[in-house]
Amino acid sequence: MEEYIENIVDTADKNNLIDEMMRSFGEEILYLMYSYVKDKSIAEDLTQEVFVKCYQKLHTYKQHSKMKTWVWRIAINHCKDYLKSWYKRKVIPSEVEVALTPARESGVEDSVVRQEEDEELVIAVMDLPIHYREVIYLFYFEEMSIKEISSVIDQNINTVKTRLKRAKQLLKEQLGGMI
Amino acid sequence: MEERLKNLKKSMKKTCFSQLEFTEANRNQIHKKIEKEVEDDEMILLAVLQLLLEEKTGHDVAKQLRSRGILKFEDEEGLLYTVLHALEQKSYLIVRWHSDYSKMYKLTSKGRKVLKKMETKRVRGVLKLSNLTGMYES
Repeated sequence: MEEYIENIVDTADKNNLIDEMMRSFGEEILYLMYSYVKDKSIAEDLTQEVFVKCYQKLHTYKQHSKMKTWVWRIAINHCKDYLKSWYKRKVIPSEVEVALTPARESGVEDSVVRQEEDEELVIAVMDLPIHYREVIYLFYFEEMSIKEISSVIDQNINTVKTRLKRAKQLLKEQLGGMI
Repeated sequence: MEERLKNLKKSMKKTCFSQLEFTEANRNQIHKKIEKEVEDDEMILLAVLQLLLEEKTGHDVAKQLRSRGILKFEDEEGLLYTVLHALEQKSYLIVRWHSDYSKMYKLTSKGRKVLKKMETKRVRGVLKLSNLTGMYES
């Protein structure tokens, strides 16, 4: 019976914890998933699965590690498993959908140019091979430190640094004179 | 390059992420999915315990779960052995080596009590699959 009561408390706590996690990280995880799969509905499905997985793995969470790092590791691993899975191989890879926000006031040329530059950069980043794209994303979008990145993608620090450097070279080549 | 990349966050939010949102509806959907997962797992565990009222090999358990329509262990038979091992650790199962070198599992009296509790009282959370399978993860 003790075990039973313990588990009831446990379940309520776990639900609260997951709810909190979703409130703090839900959107960011959705973005993160999209940055890997480039598809809205797949990213949404993966986001769901990531939080279900977090729930199942909650007992493996160690207090001393940062919650965010723990969630990101689960999310990234889950996403990569998905990309490796047979299912993915059967589905035709999708093009990057860059939602073009309509230029609000035509005539404000400056903002139009800026917008084009934004889009160009995003397309170039999204076109990078995954292991370059992820370091760029984690470093510049998520503003993670090299050390954090190394921990969430499970690679050593020097590998992260090398990839970051190489990724920037690739972007430079891609974007040509625009730098 | 560095300068432009510093704007990546803003640029992505304005473009490819502008269509993405994570709302209360998404949260509720996930809560429901978790609840269902927990229920399914309980059902599976119940089936494992019921099957082991009689002594069986792990292979037999897997086969009979499959015929009950439980596909959880289909591609991961290792997971079933993790569960069996965890149940043994909790002294819910007794393990015996059969003469042909196969391992036989059977419910102990402690295991039968847990099974009864799960069956009759419909008590939730008596024993959870996720706790068992997670026991050996780091």
